[in-house]
Amino acid sequence: MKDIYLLIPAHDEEVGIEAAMASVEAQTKRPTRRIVVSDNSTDRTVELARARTGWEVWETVDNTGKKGGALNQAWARLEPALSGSDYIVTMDADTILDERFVEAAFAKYEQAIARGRTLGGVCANFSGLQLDTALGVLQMMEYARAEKINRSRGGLAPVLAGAATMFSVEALRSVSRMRGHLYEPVLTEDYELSIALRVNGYTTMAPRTCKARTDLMPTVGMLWAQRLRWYRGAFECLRSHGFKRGTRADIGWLAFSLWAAASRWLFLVALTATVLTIGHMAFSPWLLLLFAFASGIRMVQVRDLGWKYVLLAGVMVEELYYAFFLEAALWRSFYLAFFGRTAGNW
Amino acid sequence: MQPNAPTVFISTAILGVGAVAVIGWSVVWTVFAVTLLVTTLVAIHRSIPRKER
Repeated sequence: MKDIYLLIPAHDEEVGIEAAMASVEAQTKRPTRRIVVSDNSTDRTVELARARTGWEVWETVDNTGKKGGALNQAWARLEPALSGSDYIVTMDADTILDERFVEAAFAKYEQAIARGRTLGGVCANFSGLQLDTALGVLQMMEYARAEKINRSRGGLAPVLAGAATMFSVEALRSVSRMRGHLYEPVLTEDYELSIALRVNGYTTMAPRTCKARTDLMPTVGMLWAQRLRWYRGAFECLRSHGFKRGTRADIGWLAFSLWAAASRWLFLVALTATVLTIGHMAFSPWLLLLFAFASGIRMVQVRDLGWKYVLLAGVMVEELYYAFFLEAALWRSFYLAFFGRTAGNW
Repeated sequence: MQPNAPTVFISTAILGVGAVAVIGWSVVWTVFAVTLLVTTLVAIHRSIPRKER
């Protein structure tokens, strides 16, 4: 018998907790136990969670480690009763699981076992919850591209997003045996755990059948803060693990991304300097053809979202601003991770 | 002592101007063109779905 335990860590989540719990209740494969782990909530999170039948509600004790700390406490409580063939699903309180998420993730594990593969975690491919603004549209397109990139990797995913992932207990035990707990006190505890699993020889995946929806950032300021946390967290995790199995590909990709980002900014500087010093600028037709081709690729990447998104991707102007924004966040994160005087807070 | 943001920026700018002075604009544009080509090839590679493992 393989049991599935589902955990929702929640801190002041009265706005979204009921929708998240409803999406769990609608699963085609029901988890054996469903647990909300409330961490220092001061709103109605605990009350709302307790009001639903079939759920356990745990409250953390003296936790200063935020989400990772709450999950560490839940793991310590659950672990003695778990068998190696069990699974643990963790999801955020602002995530809506697709009704087949648990069934699809479980099926992926069964397939991996039949093929003799060591699968450590199965994560969802995400799309955004409704946000009818330009910023929402741009984030939707970004998520759609991320899914395409996962497909191009044969379903392999570098990050098992904390927002919705099913872990094998055996894989989690390989990490907790090593360091006594699961999550480290870092900015991106989910990415760090993903690396730890890969270093231990486990595969991390986001199969196309596993889907979930998550909150998009409604303002530029919130998006900036989110991306600084993600990117800085990634740099810091990779720095602490070093260059080895499980991190090599990610380090290579981040180095390439930094170069590509710098190149785009330097291109603008060079363009301006040329126009100012020479007075005009002529583009080779080949370069324009390359631009048009790049535009075509971007259109193809978002075709699943519908024709409006395809059109927007083709025009590229808005997305160009968005790319500059993300690249600025990437470089700022790089600076903070390696030269910042204050440590990143969990 | 760790460098702070302004010193990193100034040293980068000096390096950039120095590099352009030494190698010339044509090489700079070639580097941009190669980068664009490589990023486009990567984008193509990452747009092709592969059989799920």
